[in-house]
Amino acid sequence: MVILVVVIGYPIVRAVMLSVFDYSLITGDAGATYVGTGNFSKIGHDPVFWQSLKNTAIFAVVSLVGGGLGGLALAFATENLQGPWRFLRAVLLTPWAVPVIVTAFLFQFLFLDRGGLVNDLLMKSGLAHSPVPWLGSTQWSLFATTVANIWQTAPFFLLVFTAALRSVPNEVIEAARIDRTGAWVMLWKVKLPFLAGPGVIAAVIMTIQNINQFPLIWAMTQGGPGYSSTTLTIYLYRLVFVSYNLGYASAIGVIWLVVLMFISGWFLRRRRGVSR
Amino acid sequence: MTSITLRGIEKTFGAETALRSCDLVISDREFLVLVGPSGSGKTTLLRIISGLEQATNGEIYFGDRLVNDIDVGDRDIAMVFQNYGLYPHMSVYNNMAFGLRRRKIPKQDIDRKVNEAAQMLGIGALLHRKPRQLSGGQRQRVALGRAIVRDPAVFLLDEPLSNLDAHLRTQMRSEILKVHRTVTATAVYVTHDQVEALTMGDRIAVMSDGVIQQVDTPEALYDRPVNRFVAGFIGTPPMGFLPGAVRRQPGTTKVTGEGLHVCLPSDLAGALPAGTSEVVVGVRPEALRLVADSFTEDESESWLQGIVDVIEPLGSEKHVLLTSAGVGLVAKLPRTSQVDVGQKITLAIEPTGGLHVFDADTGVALRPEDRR
Amino acid sequence: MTIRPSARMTILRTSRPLRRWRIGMTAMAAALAVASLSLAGCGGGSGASDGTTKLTFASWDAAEPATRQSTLDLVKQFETEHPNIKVSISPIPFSDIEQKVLLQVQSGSAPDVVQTASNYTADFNAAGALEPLDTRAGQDYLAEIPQNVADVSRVDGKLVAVPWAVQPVGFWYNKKLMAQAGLDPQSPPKTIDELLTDLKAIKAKLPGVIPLGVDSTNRVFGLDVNWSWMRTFGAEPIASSGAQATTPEMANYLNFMRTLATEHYTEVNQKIGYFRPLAAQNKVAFSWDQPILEPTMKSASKMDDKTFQDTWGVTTLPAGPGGQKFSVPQDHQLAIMKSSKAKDAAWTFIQWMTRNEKALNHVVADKGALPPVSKPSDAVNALVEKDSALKAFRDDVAPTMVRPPWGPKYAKAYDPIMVGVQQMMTGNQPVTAVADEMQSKLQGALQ
Ligand SMILES: Nc1ncnc2c1ncn2[C@@H]1O[C@H](COP(=O)(O)OP(=O)(O)OP(=O)(O)O)[C@@H](O)[C@H]1O
Ligand SMILES: [Mg+2]
Repeated sequence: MVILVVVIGYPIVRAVMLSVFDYSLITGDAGATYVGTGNFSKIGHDPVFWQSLKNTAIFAVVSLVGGGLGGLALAFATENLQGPWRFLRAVLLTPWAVPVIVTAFLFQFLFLDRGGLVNDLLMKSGLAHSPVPWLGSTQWSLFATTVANIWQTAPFFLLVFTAALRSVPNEVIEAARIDRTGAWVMLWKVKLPFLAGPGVIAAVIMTIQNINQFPLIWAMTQGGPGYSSTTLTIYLYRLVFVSYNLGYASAIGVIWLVVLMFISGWFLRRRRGVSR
Repeated sequence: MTSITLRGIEKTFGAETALRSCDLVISDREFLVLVGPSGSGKTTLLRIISGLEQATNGEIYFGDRLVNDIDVGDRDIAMVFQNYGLYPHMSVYNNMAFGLRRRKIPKQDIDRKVNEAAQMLGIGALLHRKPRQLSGGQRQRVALGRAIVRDPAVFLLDEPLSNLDAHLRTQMRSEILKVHRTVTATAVYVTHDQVEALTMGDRIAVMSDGVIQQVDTPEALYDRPVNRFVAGFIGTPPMGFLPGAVRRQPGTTKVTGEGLHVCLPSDLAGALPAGTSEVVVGVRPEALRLVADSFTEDESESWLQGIVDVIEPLGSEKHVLLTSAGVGLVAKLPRTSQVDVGQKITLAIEPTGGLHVFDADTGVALRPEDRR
Repeated sequence: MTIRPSARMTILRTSRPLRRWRIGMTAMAAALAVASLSLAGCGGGSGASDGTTKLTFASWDAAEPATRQSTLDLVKQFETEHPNIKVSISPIPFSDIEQKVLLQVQSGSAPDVVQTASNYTADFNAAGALEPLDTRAGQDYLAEIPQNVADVSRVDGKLVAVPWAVQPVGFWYNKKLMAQAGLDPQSPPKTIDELLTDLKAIKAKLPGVIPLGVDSTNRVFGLDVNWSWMRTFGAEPIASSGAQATTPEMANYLNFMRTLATEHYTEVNQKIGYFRPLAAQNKVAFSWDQPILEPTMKSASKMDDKTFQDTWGVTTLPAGPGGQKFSVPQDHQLAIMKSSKAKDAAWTFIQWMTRNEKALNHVVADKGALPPVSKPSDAVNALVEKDSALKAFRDDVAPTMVRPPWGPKYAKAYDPIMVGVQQMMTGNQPVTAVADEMQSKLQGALQ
């Protein structure tokens, strides 16, 4: 227990301590100077931080909604698969098992300006006259990475919701059939409430994962062009591993930790509300 | 006006046959109980009536309308499940109102119906609770309420009381009957508890092995079982069955065996097909009377002898379990009867009503009314 | 070697903000503990009692599949020739080596010799981790290195590493595509104006071809390759006096980059690695890339030497208004860590690696780079001579190499600069707005 507290608590304590220093890995302990709340006030007028925060929020929320709804739709669509068709569900689950890096690679190719499947389809269908620079433009890069992330994470929701659907008691469904419940009401009013509990847990997990998503974005856009797809992880990566600006990075990390704690707390409160 | 007619209903699950050629007519507003041992096909039959399950073969009519292809929601039935099947996330009120809303009933009418039903079932104070905040009995009332607000033509109940304790069960039994009297529905009630069946049913259908063995009023089932299965299933303690040989003598027909001497009443004797030599005699426990051994000396009396195994005192009377010629049976005796375990006793058989004769091979009752 | 308490702290605190702590602190801390222990095990060489000296050599060549085996073989060869020195290789991928070695430096478990390059060398030096080598190398050794090659390894006039594999970035041109576009395949563009004309012709005639491959990613490497272009326009956004992003020269450069993007002469925010396979399929006409492009293309397209030399040529970057030509060195260097306890043996090792014929043969044949000496042996020289591209790198491109102002400031400045470049290439803000924003961020970063 003590070990656990030390192991979990120590890095957090270190981060908090570091966050009040101007600390670079290059100069090490010797070059560290105490700056008090300097790092935190710097965050206040650091436009890159705020843009990263905004991008992180968009990326996480849109991924969550997209992945959640996608997974839900797939779960309902595949609910009554019979016999060999059940294999289809296994196929639909594969993106979850694909390494993130492979997903990134795949979507980089789908979104290529030239010869990318998405642009080919858009051009052939006449929806676009010239290729859309999905990864090479500030308007689209966050969208493109988000789509890739949705593709990657929807199967997780499919898995969770499929399991939850199986746990809906047969008698409840039959009672609803006797009550002349149409397919739509059956989904929304009868089955969906059974998915709320597992759904909230899945949402917490995925929100944290989305906020922390690094390899996908890094491999697809490195956070660019400009800062258009820079999330907090990307920004921190640059601060820590390229600029070695550990003090400032720790200050952001501390804020981030607090934000994440609030998000999880909020979700879990909601969840208690749901199950009550 | 909804009678239910089942014709040649068969149901198979893969290789498993759950129902074979079931014919049944349930009249309008009748309260019919389906009873039978576990696995006999009661639930399956009920679900076929409801439309939740499709029959493999056969026809179902509601009135004179063939309903085989009519969807559950359109058959105008309501069902009460053993595990209630309540919507856990809806309040009691909404559980009851849900089906009405699906049928586009005006809001005021829904409100009125729900409140009426809640009043009748004594759950008026619980309307805002969720099912998980209710006791088992309260949940069952909500399930009943959900069924009756719909005012269905057919009311189907699958062992609705089996999750309740004995006391509550007795109480709910009468409530269900009360409800049935106030609604104008034809009810089919599944149970494997024969006391429930006998006390509730206008008629009872006894099932075994996917076959409806007999459909009759409780009295008729008790007095005139069509076969050994029904005879043994209906009545507690159960009927005892003793094999014996037929001995035709001038003026009387006897069935005798080791420790068994039965002079058949003339109607039963007349029902014996010619040439029958082996039969099984069925004896209701209450048809037995403790007598002195000397009783056996009268050739015109019917009696049996056995060794007492167990004595169950029940207050007003006692059940004596004995073995006669290797077969176990029960006698219901007055509390004052002097018997001891291990004692060999002689019991007189009342020949009227309590005595039945069955074909030794088929188990079919050999009854005067079946004689052609 | 024991781990000082602060050593472990350094590791933990470095990793904390980045590592995704959902993975579980337990696993992470355990991994770090193991890592710090194993790092301690391989630190600093020492004289063993049997007279052999042990060296540790951190190298990305030993981690990358293409060079792994030949590197191991080469080191084995060194050990054979120097039986009293044992070299233990610590393979670390290129992208991790700086951070790993810096951590090792902080925890007192640094290797004796590191393979390093460009900004890594400057950062190591800024961390005070590198041994100055002027005295050890001596006049004769230094005299063999071309002046501008040696300058790449100098910080503030001090030699902090020795050049090993010389790799300037050069202007590759596809002669076949040029001919198809109606251009003279023998005369690649010599000025920016000529370049723009050629790009236009290529775009018009060969719509399926990317006219110019140039890395515009937001990385230190991205700034490296763009540094030559900036210098070509006379721009130097980081100078000793501070940020200089708002000069007219910088505006010219930025406008040029915008032209590349809006005319679809190149693809924005792509790594140079993206263009390489396309170049191998003759889908890139010009590319601003290192000598490594040659082996990469050959292995991708199975081209023989003859076809390759008929197809691809290398020359200097077209000149800008000042008429001067620029290239950026991506040389691989070898350096000795200050903390090493076996500096003599370490010098013996890197001296051999940068002078021995087998080692230089490895540089040319296996690494596809130029040797770090003006006059290599005939055999090594012959290898360069028979490869027209490499020869052009040596004769034309290498002399134009200019070291960018590498160092910790550069590592902070690359982000605002490259972001500004990308904004130019993808947005439509006026150049002054982009430059102003770049300037203010640069000032913040350089503080
Ligand atoms: N969905 C099904 N799949 C396969 N076999 C089934 C299915 N439903 C019922 N059966 C089989 O059909 C037979 C009749 O089952 P049913 O549920 O109707 O019995 P029951 O009389 O209701 O028994 P109980 O008193 O235990 O509820 C049983 O042998 C059962 O195993
Ligand atoms: Mg059942």
